[in-house]
Amino acid sequence: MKFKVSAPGKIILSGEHAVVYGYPALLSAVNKRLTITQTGAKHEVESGIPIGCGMGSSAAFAVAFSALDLVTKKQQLDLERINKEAYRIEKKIHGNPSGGDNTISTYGGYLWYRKETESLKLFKNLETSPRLRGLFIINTGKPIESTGEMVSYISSRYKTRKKYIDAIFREMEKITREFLSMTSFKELIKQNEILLEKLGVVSDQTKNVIRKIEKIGGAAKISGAGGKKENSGILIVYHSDQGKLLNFTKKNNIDISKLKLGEKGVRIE
Amino acid sequence: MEVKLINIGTPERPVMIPEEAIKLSTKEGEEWWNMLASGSAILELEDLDKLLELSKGDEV
Repeated sequence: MKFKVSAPGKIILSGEHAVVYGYPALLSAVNKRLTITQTGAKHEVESGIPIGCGMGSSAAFAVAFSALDLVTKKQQLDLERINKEAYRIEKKIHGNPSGGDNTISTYGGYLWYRKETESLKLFKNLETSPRLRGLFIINTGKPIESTGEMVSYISSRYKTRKKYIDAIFREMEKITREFLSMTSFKELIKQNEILLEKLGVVSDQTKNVIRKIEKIGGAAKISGAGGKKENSGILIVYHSDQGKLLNFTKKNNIDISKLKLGEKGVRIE
Repeated sequence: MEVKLINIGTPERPVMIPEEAIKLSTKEGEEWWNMLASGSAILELEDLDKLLELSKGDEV
């Protein structure tokens, strides 16, 4: 007998770095999924979620694995149970996961998250599911710095220029809140990117690509920890005229893929 | 999946993290720090300082 389940990865729309300091973050499930197929005793895992770039691949595995366990026992897809079990698996692997990745991979859609203290974490699943067209992902390449170094960099800036960095984080929080309405998406992406550049987590090389995208009428921001020397990881890109953007990326030999936000959570395939 | 977790907190207030998180340049360490930067993993700021101190020497 064959069983097949899949769970989505996620992307951080707003709040990277700031979330470490207790500011909110907005996450969205995306159209990159991990699928587990079980045929007899054999398991096969296929994943379209890039590994190690903050897109929730390990949580998607934990969620799909937990769902498969129920399906093979001919039980219903009890999302609460799946989420709980996936969190237990995530704890075994990562020690102190926030629970954000498994929650969004289980339920899909959008998730508002804020750390108050280690034991108090606020999650809010958002009902909104706008049909935003014209969103893409560009991978600027793996940053030279490790993500730990980027976190360390912000941590030392936070200590030496606390007021300034807090001011940036407060502005970022405003944008994160405005993202909830999912209007003026282009402007919010632009403003968010400006703040990330002020934080110092975007390289000149990446800024150059982003300025060119802005010049042809689009907007882009890094998603994740970034990188300041060469590459800065993943970019979320928006352009109302997809043809224009695709022409630009083709001309500049840039890999681009479509991004769908608010993807459905775990499901039987 | 076998992952070794270590306690960077105290016995009374354990703060468990994967051992690889101390090694910034490993694939597993990278994955964990990515989770931290985007809110998928969680640390109090004092524990973050402690971990950054522990991981010094593994910076590129």
